[in-house]
Amino acid sequence: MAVVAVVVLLVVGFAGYYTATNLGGTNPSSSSSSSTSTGITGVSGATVNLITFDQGLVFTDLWNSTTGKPLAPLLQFEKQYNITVNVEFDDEPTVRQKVQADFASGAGRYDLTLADTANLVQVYGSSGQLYPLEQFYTPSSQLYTPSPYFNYTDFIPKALVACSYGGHLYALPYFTFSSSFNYRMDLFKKYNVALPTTIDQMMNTTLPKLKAGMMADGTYGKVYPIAIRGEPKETTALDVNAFIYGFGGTWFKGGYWNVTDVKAHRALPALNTTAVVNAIKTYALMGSMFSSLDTPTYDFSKEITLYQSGKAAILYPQSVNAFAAQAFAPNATIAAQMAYAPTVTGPTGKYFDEIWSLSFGISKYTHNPKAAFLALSFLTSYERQLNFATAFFPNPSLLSVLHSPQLTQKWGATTMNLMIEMLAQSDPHFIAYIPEANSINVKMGEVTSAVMSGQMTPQQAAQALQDYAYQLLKSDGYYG
Amino acid sequence: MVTIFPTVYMIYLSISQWKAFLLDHPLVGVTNFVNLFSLANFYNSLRVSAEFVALTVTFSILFGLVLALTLNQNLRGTNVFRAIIILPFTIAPIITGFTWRYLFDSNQGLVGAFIFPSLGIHIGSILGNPLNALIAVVFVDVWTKAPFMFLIILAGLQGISPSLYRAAKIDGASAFSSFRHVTLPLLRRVLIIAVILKVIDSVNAFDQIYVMTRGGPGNATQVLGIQGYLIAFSSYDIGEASALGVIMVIISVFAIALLIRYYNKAT
Repeated sequence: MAVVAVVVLLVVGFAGYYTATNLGGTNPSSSSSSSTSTGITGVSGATVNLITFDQGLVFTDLWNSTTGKPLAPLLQFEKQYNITVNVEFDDEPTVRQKVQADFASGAGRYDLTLADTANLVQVYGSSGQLYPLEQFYTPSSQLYTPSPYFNYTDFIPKALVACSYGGHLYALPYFTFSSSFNYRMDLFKKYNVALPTTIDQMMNTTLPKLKAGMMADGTYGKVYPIAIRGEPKETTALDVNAFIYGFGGTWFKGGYWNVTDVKAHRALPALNTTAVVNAIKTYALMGSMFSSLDTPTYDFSKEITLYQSGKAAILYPQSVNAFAAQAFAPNATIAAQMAYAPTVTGPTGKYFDEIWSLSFGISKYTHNPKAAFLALSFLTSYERQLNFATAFFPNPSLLSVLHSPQLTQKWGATTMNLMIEMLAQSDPHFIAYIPEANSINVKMGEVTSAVMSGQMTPQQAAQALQDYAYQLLKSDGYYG
Repeated sequence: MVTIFPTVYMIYLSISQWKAFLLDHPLVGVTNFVNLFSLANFYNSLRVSAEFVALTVTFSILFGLVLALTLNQNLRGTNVFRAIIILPFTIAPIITGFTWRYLFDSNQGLVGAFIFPSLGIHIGSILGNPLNALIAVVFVDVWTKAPFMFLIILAGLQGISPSLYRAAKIDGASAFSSFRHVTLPLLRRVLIIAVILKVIDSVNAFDQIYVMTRGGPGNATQVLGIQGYLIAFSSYDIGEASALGVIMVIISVFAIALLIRYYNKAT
């Protein structure tokens, strides 16, 4: 029966892939029911330690969300290979600190570490702190680990690109999301507002019309047209970067996005261009004109709270936050009104889009890299991602899961096709892949928050960002 | 060893090029300090920290003193009030920060969304406005730390012999004269110690502010501690963050040295 089920799943997955997307060719990954006689040597008796955030959201089928105790699928895996997999959950900033401290000391406390695609892949990939993963799936390599859970071609190609640095794959993604226009159907209907397709429509029609309607019926202040975040951090910058991308901007003159090209062409930062000014201006206006006054200090949890408590008509631009809002909404009536549409396009026709993966890499200080890869492949395998995507967000990193009938049944064909479409047109290099990316993003978040709260003009913000980036890159030897 | 090693190691890191994405960590002399001094944000953080220290030290001491004077009497229920007053000091700063963050929220917070509007106080956003945010983080710090100042000053007050007040009263001194000529001079040493402790605490402020505003909006509440955190764990530049740490130590030591000098003169 299990074999039949897997075959059916694969067929449906293929069909979905060929009919719905232009994402690259794939083969669905093996499930945990695959053969155990894989001939993996040198892993027995090993202990693999993982650190991540999002307790209660990720790996809930492996560890009890409350007690942290291992659950049946993990116990079975551990028994099968005689290895132990431990997890340490913490909040995101603490995880980042612990990973950095572990790398700094070289202690190898964590074998599998958070290596998200917004910055850690760049930082730790460039410094050799993570194992390039090719050697684990290249048969001629000494570290070749033929895991039955790993199928390279089933990963969303763009997610793998996002997890790569300098031509090497440094992490495997667990969930991957891009942008979408997340909105409340009832409020759009109530105020007779059409879905925007361009940023001009959104800024000149959608948001003003929603605000005018809310002011007319006296609800403005209790409900807002939009919920976004504005805390002075890299988190806000992730969304601002989607705006820069949509306005046709780039981080560097010439559009270069990696260290080699930037250095070779001595490409200067292009963060004070009209596109960047417009991006910061537009993003800040959304926060200052159409959202809560507290937005300049809002993090993702606050924007989600505003939307899921029924106090915002739009949550923009990350799809994953909207799904989180819907999944954990305290009011089922409000949750039922949440819908998803394509994100808007900018003047150049580009979508206001971003792509981000929660991904994990193998520490170079691990005591057993092969066991770490086996565990990593298990953690990011078909069943794990399917369980997560079915329970929480339809944002898996595997094509077979993305096209699975379970997700279509749970989230609906329209939503799934939208996710597929948005991923298909997203660009992993909407931010530059340089180790300094996070520093520049922190500054971008800070200046955007400053514009939103009236401390700076968009022009001043872009210039401050440009000056900061130039100074940083110059001191790091980019320009000789 | 426990004190010296981390300090020496921090100084060593401050003269090293220690970035997470570089394989080698060579010694670079004062480069990290030069880079820091060339950052506009450094001067902003210096200014914000100076404002924060000045305001929190002044108001914490002031409120601590008023509370201590008020509750240094054998009135009914004094012990209960003393216990209640020190409660905020017993709460972890992270919890305090989160609590006030939600209280100040313009949409759902008890203070920001209900009490202020019902009192006709319309100041816009508390945490989303640069000036309001700075006032808010100062207020919360004073709310948390004034009880500690209260305890120190109360201990000082209880060390003053009641006979001195009786003598002053016999000499016809008013309550204010007693305070000015008896209490304050005898409390001076205690007050200086309280100021020293509060200055150290305020210079190193981080957790409560970070939880409340992340240093924002913009960089309006970005004290030196938050800037150091961002440099270390967002820019992954341990060398430059350590240089900032060294500067913070120098500032604290300099301020304490001045106060100790004053203390010695007073005694």
